[in-house]
Amino acid sequence: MKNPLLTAIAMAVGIVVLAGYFLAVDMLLTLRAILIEWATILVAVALIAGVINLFAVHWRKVTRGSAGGASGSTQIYSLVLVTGLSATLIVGGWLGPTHPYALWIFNNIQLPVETSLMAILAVVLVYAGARLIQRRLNLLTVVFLLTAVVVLLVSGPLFGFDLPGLAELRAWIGRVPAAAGARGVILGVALGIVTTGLRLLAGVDRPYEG
Amino acid sequence: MDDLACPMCGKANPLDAEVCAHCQARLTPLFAPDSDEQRTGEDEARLATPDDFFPAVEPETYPDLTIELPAPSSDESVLPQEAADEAARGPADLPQWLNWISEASRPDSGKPEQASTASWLEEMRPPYDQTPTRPADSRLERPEAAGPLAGLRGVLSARPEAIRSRKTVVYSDQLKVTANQRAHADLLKELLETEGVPQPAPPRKTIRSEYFLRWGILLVLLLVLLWPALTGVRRAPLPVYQEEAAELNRLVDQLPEKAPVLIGFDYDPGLSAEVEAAAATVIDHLMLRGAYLTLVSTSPTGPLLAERFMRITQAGHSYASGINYVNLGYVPGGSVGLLNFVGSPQRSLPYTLDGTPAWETAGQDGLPPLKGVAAIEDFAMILVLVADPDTARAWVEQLQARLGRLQTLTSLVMVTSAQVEPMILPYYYANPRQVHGIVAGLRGGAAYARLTGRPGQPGRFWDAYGSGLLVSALAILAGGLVSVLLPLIMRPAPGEGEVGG
Repeated sequence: MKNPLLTAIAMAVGIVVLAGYFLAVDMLLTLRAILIEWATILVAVALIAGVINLFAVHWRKVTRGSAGGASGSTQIYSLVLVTGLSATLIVGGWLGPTHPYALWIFNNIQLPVETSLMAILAVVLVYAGARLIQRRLNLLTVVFLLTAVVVLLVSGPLFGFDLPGLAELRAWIGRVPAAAGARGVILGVALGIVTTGLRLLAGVDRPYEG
Repeated sequence: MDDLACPMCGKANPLDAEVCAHCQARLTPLFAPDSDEQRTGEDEARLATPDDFFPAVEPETYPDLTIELPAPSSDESVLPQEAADEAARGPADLPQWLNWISEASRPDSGKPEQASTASWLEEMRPPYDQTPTRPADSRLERPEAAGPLAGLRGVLSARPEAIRSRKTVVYSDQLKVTANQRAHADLLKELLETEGVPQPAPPRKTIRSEYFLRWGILLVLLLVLLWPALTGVRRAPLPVYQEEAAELNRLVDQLPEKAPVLIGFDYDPGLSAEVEAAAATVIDHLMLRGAYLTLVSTSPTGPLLAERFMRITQAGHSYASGINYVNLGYVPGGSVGLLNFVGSPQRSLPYTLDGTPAWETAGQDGLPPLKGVAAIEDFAMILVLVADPDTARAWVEQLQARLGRLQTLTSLVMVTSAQVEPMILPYYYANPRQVHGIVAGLRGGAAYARLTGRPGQPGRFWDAYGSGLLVSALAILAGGLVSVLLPLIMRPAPGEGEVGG
């Protein structure tokens, strides 16, 4: 145990927050609310620190160039990032996030870029699905592709070519195998969270010690 | 060696010294040596060998253990034959069956019989006249003759030869390998050396079938998606009924007029097209009911998405910020921040995105959408627009502590991306329900639009959406069939290509 004080603080905070779920004691609830508020503020500060660090790293690449280990293209990308970040920060910070200029930047730059990436992903997924059997032919691949085809077919309209039983098959896939898998995932996540929480409360895991 | 090394300090002493001149340790034993063990100092200093303790005995010096009978005298000659028989039988007190002992005790009886053995085995046999040596450990049985342990048996010798430094044996560092081993080693060395050498990449074909397939899929998808938008033709009917969407529709219908509704905008801009199209009809329905909307987000881009949604997607409703809806902005901290907001929304987000105080306090009137709202349970409905399963799960988990109480009437409903639907359905099917209504993907939005009779965005996208899904499914199906059938067709017939049939 490197620093018992840190461990004691972490365990005490965890126990107070956990006890607040079960015990309706005013003092405990107030203390729990304060601790959670501190955590939220810390996360917000960490976000600001991350933005500052991102700016500093790319600013260094722009100013030092190849001496800082950046190639020509990397230097251009860093310059674009620094410029975009500065412009957005100035417009959003000076005029406010709901100003038409700030919304224009968001609606005409960030939104189309991210949406285009998703559109490319759709095309790539279709292409990968078409070639999947050629790459790996086994039973699970066939089951996977047939399931994907059935769900795709029934998720949209069939323009008058409704096949009998197809809608029921899609509903069955969504309610039985998919829901069963999802419940398994949820249960696994819950058990993992409980285990991790208990290890933190018991001081077995101490991520705060570095 | 002319000096005698002290067993204690190791320094040299004269050969006739009894004690060490440097450390006064005894160099000769205290007990008187046997007469046959009288040795000079030179003998003591000599390295003892097993032969010192067990000297080899020449075959001709074996003691003659045969019984020599006295010459027969005149008075004893009456029984010469009996004496000879007795000598041949051995001692008189041994029975007949133990005669082999006496046979074995004879010196010449120890020699093994000369058997007929192979010549190569005969060469390996040690000579019979060589006296076997006893193990070296038997030296320990002799009493120690020098040092502080003198007179004791079973101890390591403290004589000078035991501690004398010996010259280190030098072994050759040359590995003796056979020619075959050398050949394998050279091969391995060559492999390792060529591994680090960059090999020229094989020339790529300028035009490959993959390019045609990739671009073909892209062009077909683009054509199919753009065709309904370009022609304006709508042929596909909206989906008929979905239980989860119908339940959400019922809950919105039951809301009182100007009911406060909290909406969480928790999706990324990349998935905004699907989620906003699905959510458009639900929020349109809420606006028709005159609900007061409060917008929050746990995503940094969420507040801007919310503002965009209210200003562009729902522009027809003339909802004004600060009057009909209020945008409280970003809740940092993920699940922790959400828990903080659920526990004390006023302390967590006290201002709107414009910096205006939002909540009603003792000193000021709050904005109209938040009048009478002090806690999360005061909202009539919580609607979450989400495209990520983990975010959806965080909302359900953090809200259950407050909404799970019996007296709470606030309902939690969700508009999700299609990929989130399987993860959220278990919460809908739970008893009691933890999510009270779901609109999943564009299909759910279209089903909701059919229920309200206002197609809106889902109606505009439904044909293109269906065409894209149909073409995608057919492309995957065709690709799979071609991948399976083409190798079967191209496979050479049995016997084809075989030489000599």
